[in-house]
Amino acid sequence: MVFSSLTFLLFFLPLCLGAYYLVPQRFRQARNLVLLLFSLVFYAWGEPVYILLMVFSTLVDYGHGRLIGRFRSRPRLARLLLISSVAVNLGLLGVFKYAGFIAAALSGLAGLPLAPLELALPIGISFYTFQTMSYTIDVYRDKVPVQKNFLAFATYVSLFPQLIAGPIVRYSTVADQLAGRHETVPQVAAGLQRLIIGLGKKVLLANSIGQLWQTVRDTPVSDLSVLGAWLGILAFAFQIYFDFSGYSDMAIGLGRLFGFSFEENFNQPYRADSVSDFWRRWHISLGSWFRDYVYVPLGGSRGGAIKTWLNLLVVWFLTGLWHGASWNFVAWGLYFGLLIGLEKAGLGRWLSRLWRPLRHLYTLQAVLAGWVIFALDSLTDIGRYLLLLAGLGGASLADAQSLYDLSAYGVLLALLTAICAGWPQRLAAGLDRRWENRLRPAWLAIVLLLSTAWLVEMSFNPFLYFRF
Amino acid sequence: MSGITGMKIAIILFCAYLALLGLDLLVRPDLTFSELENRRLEMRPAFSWPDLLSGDYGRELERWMADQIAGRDSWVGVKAELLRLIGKRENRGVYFGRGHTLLQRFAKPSDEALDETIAGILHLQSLLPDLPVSLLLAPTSAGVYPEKLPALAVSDDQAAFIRQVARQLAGRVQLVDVLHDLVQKADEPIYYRTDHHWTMRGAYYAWSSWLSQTGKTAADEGDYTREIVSEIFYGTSWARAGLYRLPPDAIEVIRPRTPVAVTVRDVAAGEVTDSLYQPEYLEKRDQYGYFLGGNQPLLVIEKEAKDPGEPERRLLLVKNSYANCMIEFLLRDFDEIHVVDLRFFQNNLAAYARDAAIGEILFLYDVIGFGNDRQLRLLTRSA
Repeated sequence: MVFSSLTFLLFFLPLCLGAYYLVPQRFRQARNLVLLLFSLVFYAWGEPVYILLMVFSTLVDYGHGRLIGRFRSRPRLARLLLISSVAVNLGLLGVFKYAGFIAAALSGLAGLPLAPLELALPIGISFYTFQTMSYTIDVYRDKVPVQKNFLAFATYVSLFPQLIAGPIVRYSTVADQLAGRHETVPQVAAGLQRLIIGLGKKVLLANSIGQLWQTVRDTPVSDLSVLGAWLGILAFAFQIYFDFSGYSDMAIGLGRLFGFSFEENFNQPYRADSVSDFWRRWHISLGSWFRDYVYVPLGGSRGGAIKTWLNLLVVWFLTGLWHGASWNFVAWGLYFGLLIGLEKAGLGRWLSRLWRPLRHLYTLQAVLAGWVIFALDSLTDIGRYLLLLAGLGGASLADAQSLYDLSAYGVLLALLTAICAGWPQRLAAGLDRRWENRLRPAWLAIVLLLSTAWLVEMSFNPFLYFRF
Repeated sequence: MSGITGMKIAIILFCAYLALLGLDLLVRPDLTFSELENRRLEMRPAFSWPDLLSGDYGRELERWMADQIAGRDSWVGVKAELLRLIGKRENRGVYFGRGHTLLQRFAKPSDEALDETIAGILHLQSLLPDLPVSLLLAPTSAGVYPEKLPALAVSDDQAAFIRQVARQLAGRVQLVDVLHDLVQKADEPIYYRTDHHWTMRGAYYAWSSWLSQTGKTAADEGDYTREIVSEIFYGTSWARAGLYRLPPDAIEVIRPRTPVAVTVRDVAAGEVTDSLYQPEYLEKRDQYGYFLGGNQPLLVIEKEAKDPGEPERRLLLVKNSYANCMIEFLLRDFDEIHVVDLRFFQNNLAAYARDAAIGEILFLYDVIGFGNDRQLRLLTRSA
């Protein structure tokens, strides 16, 4: 099930909230059980078979956690158990997400005639395997206590707000909350606000601008004008941001409805003034996951220039690959690894002396070029599209189609730009507090009503993370 | 109102809003038909375990909810008006034009695709060298009234496209260009505003243009009467455009003052009727099906009263749905019309034309249908 559906909003959510809050607060276990059961239904809704995968994953990680805790005094055995747990999790990812990709790569490189497996990607598998891995690794590092309560652990793994599209909630974030959270009225109210804002971002903004990207995407790159290419990639940049951050907002909001507080996943990424800064603001939970569980354990930047570059290469190769089993995602990851490496190596210091708007311009250009690599899967198309953005390649500056698109989407593009630049937020912050308290509920009600209208007449509502 | 109380009220309102919409769906009987959208609505899906496990039940449930939600028409209307307000002028290839007119966008086919299509037509002509063959390329509304397109809207030049096709046919097949004559009549209702077809009146003027260009006796409007058979017609463009509030079209039928008795044989279905019109379609969503009952692989239409002594005149009409409302007029000059829709007709067309002793061939497509066509090129396999 996805959050941006009528089934979720009109049936699932009211039932889940009702069942949850009918249980008195002192019966923590029973509340967790309600969440667990609803979460299983939520996950089973689209692809019921894969519920088995999640149950398997839960059992494996629970068991490994217990065993690591038990054999902590025997470091080699504990280490073996950790490796086993990580191997199972990565094995699941490998089989269900990368089997076809690996088979194709091997048969391409070594000429092995491997028939790729055609398995449907279990929704959210990249998110929940990373979440459960954080548990066993942190248990091994003695950063969190072993979770002995199976119900609490299963609730964590399957917890529907964070299940399918981020943020990647680490076990350490919610470990205490599983047993001792306090649901309060202000928290629930704040959760609802966040949910509505996220819903509006996804349904009203991302889907609307996504249609512009769709038209550009459907045009062969050779038929695009320079303006058309720019409109297209801007539309994609807005679509993926509002879609993804909207989903994270909904996840965080839903978590709060049940007393959980998750870490933030986005922090106005398009206001970043370097690529490193962008990645501190974009999909924060993924970047910090790779930092803490891959980059730092590899030695980070403490082993000299060559070692640092090597570590960056590994981390960004994996970051790219995490986004999908396809070479363009790998290229996308390595591209950012290269830029971040250069910024570490001195470009960053040079940039920091530049006039601030120029730093923004550099960052946005770098990120937009990255989206080209991300959004197109053929390397020739990527090359042509990048040339087009640069105004090279002999295409016309603007054609009739792009002028029309500009007229049809100009208002929306301006609105999205303003939101990404943080202007409406600053305007709201400047309001008199009394006024803000009166206006905000009205504003949220409008967003909720409009989102309902958009969900009722939905010709375009893609789920972008089907490859993650 | 203290902070906490206000929050409690907001939480209760929010939950009540969602829960009541959901509850209403469960208890209120389903509507079967939407008057505004002129279509059948999704009914509550029957639960079954296999459907649940395959995910079909979830998808059907979502569609059912969207169709049956309380106040659906208002939700849809609000969305449409707001989108318009922020500048949206098109949906799925349909422009929201001036004067409540929806116009389908015309995108020229690629040169290669066009070459193949024309090669198919020319090949058929070469197999039947003694028959006159013509191609009537109907413009669409965007070609006849480009001024109704929204500002900056993109739709390729139909006149230029028709000229290009004429050049490539190289005189072996006569191209009948009716665009100019239709533009002369642009102030009459010759196209539907909500459908991608021309009206029967548009077909009439195109026919009379074809007559004059192929040297046949001119049409006499005095021989025909006009009658409105439906005043509430929302066509395919309207359905694709996303349900904007527009006044409906009317369907006008133009028939000879002295009715012509015909038998219409649907060869594939083995059915015979005595009318070119199927009034039951006026009760359905796609009322254009009134003409000929939609598209069949092969219809053989015969006049009951043939001119005695005259040799029988037989026309092979290879067409898409634009031709469906022109057959009435074509019957003036032919005793038999063999109507072929290549999307469904599987036989060898040249052999069929010989067997049926066809005397003339007319290809009739609108420019969009012609540009998208994937069957005409297969005529190169004819023998």
